[in-house]
Amino acid sequence: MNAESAIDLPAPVTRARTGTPLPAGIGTRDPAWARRLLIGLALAFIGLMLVLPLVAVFVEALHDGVGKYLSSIANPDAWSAIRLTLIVAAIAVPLNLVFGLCAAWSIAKFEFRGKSLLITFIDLPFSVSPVISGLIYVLLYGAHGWFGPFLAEHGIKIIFTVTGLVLATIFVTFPFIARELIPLMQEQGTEEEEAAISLGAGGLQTFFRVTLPNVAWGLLYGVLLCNARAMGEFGAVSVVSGHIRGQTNTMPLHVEILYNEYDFVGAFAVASLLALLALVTLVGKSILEWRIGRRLARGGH
Amino acid sequence: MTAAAYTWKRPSVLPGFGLTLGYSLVYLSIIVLLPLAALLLRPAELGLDGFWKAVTAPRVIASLKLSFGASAIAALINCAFGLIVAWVLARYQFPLKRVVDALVDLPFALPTAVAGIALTSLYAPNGWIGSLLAPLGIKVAFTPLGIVIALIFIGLPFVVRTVQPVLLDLDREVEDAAASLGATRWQNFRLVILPSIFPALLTGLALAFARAVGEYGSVIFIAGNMPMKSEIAPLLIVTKLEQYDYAGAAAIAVVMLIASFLMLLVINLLQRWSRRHEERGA
Amino acid sequence: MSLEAKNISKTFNSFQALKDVSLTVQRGEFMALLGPSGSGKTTLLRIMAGLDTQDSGEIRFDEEDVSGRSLRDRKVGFVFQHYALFRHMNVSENVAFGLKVRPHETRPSPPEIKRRVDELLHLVQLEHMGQRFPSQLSGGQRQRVALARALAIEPSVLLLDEPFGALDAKVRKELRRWLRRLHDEMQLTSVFVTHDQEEALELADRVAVMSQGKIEQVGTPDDVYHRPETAFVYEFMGNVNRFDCRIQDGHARVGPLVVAAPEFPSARDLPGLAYVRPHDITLRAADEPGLPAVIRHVFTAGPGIRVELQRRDTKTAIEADLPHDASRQLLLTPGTEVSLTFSGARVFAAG
Repeated sequence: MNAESAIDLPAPVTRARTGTPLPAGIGTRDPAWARRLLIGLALAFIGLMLVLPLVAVFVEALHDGVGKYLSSIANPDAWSAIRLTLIVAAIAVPLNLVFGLCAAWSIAKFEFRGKSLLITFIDLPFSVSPVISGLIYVLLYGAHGWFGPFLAEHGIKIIFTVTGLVLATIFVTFPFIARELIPLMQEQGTEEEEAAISLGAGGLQTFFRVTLPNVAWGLLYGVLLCNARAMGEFGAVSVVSGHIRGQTNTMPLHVEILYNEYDFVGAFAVASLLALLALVTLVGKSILEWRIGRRLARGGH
Repeated sequence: MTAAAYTWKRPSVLPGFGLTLGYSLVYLSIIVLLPLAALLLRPAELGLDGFWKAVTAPRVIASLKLSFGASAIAALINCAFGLIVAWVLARYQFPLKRVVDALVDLPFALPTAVAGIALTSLYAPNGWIGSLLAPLGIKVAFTPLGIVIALIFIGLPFVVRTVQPVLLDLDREVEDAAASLGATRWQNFRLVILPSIFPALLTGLALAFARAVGEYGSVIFIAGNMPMKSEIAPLLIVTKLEQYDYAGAAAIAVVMLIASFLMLLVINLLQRWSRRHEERGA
Repeated sequence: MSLEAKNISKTFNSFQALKDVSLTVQRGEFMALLGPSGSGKTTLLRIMAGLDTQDSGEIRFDEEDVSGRSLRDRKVGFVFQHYALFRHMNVSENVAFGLKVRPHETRPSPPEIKRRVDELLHLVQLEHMGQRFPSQLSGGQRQRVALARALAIEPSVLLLDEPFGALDAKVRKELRRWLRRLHDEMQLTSVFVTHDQEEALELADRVAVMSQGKIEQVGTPDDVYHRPETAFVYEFMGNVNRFDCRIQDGHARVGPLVVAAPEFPSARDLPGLAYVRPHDITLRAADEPGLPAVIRHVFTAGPGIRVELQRRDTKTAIEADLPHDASRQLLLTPGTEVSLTFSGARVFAAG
């Protein structure tokens, strides 16, 4: 009965561990030609599949010069898309953060039945297609949904509004922070918290002074990944947004509209901002992994 | 353990269990469980017959076949290249290794729509790569081949990130042992290393496949979206939704959901297997 | 086959692991490489096997230089410290591995392989364990599987890296005796690495004591224990008391005591160190001649009594091992003043 019985999705969970290979004997050495061939293949594949598309985004965005690029970004519709993306993330990420902390506290620090089932449920959104993630809210709150008529009577609209975007975004980013915190807090055990309580600390004091400092980097890691997905989500928000320009268009949706209107420079200009966000996320992720890895190495065996 | 078997929670001096678990359950129910229940119940209004008809319509079958087929091909290709990338990152030193290692996660971080338009512009007949392939008579963008390319892109990190840590944890002494017993490097890889990383490789394959089946954003730009030819299942859901065929959309979604739960089950079993595998011997 | 390491040097990054080391292992001999961690003993063993390459020097098998030969071609049986068993293969498959990976022309037929595996499992007393996986075996059993696997390739020499390091004390003793018997039967040239002097003394025909990348002394167990050639070997081979002394004309002075130093017949007031084993110290009444000391602590140590003393003049601590009936002749209580004499001592020049 622990978190290990849940599936480990590599996306937010498994940290890359780079470092110098262990010193090992001759039996582990590959012939030089094989080494060169494999490094060549790996670099070619990464270059072709990952680097080239990234480069293409910026090249296409600057296709007609810097002036056109800047004016594409300064476009009012683009601005409203940027604003909306920030708003959605600013609501969805903190909500999932609070949930992640609550879920991690109850799951990591207590033993109770049904824990592994609960963890499986928390992981569910990872295994649901983004389109289905949007669809479920339409089925619930849309004009023909379960609560649709009731909501319509009271003048509440969810689908095709910011509320719908936020809901769909919360769903797709739901597991990120909890998934990062649970194993980390389990690893820490409960002894420090028990010591704090025995010394007279209150529950919140214990949490903020003992638990949180121990998991701070992991928490930041979860927030970073959660935010990247929240700002970049396309499929789920596409289904619930209604694509109302200037109102319910997030950046990824705006990219789609511009692209379909053959405004390639405009589409790639907005896309380049999202690509920058991705690069910043990757850099942040590497730094955090380095920090977390170092901390684990120090605290571990 | 025996005491815990009779009560549902082991006593603890730490506070806040009721509040945090309660909040977690309520939030989980509102955001995840209730909407998913709505989805599972929705096709009921079609009746069993109607449901069957909805999911066996030729256009639906074609889209499911395409989604699963392209995903399987992409996952297999990722399996091969993902293993190479993981191997190179785990075993060799080379310039810019840290950058390459960080770049592997790009498909996780890059919004799918951005990936979609970038790949399309590359592989379109007038794009950097498309223009090279066009004289050879190979069309990538707006064909199922394009779908496979997009699915390779989004699935790559799954294989690398499941295999890489296992490779790093491998006991190198075992390879020395095999070599001292006379194994060639290739025999060493085939008979000693590959069996050790096989469960992880399969898990990575399954994860990449599961992700690819549901993928939408990176595919729709490059796919061409021709019904019966290059229309993936998630797109068909959106199309049905736009035609207000909620039940029909839900029916396809239910089929995909069941498929992904089966995948989840398989992945779980695989991981349990590989954990047992790792515990063996020391 | 005889095995010779000739002028071997090896440097890892900036750490010099081996400094011009030479060692000859005779045909059929059981040799121990003994030393503390970091002394280079495992590095030497791995270079003999071909798992590492030396920076300079030669490895010779029966006079033939094999330095250029690969690990695969040396046909060396190597038993790893943590066994390095293939965990996804059962015991039989582990043992058969070295035969199955041979090229077609020299690979034995499947029934022949099976026969050989059964034979080896019988040899290591694991006849009924063939279908088990390594995880289902005890430490001692894994060790024997590793040995059978190494023997399967009919090696010309057998190299063992800390073969008993990962076992608990009782199993270690049993397995040690068993391995010695096995060696006596097979007469296979063998070298093993250990940091445990008791193990080296009990098991080996000859012991090479290593320190800081050099061989300090090679000799029979009796030689290295009773006639250490260097201060390091003296200290490493067991508990020892160390006394500052001055050497003059083949004698050394420790306080009022004079001990023989025949290695320095013409020394003139040379600073030295006198090594005395605890069991070579005798306690006498305080009014008898000897080195004055005070008893600090007395406790039972195995079959005898260990007495911790303090020298009156320099206040340094001294350990003495006495037979358990010693207390009958002398009052062994803390605070008692006594006089010490040495029944054996060895003097080395200081520095």
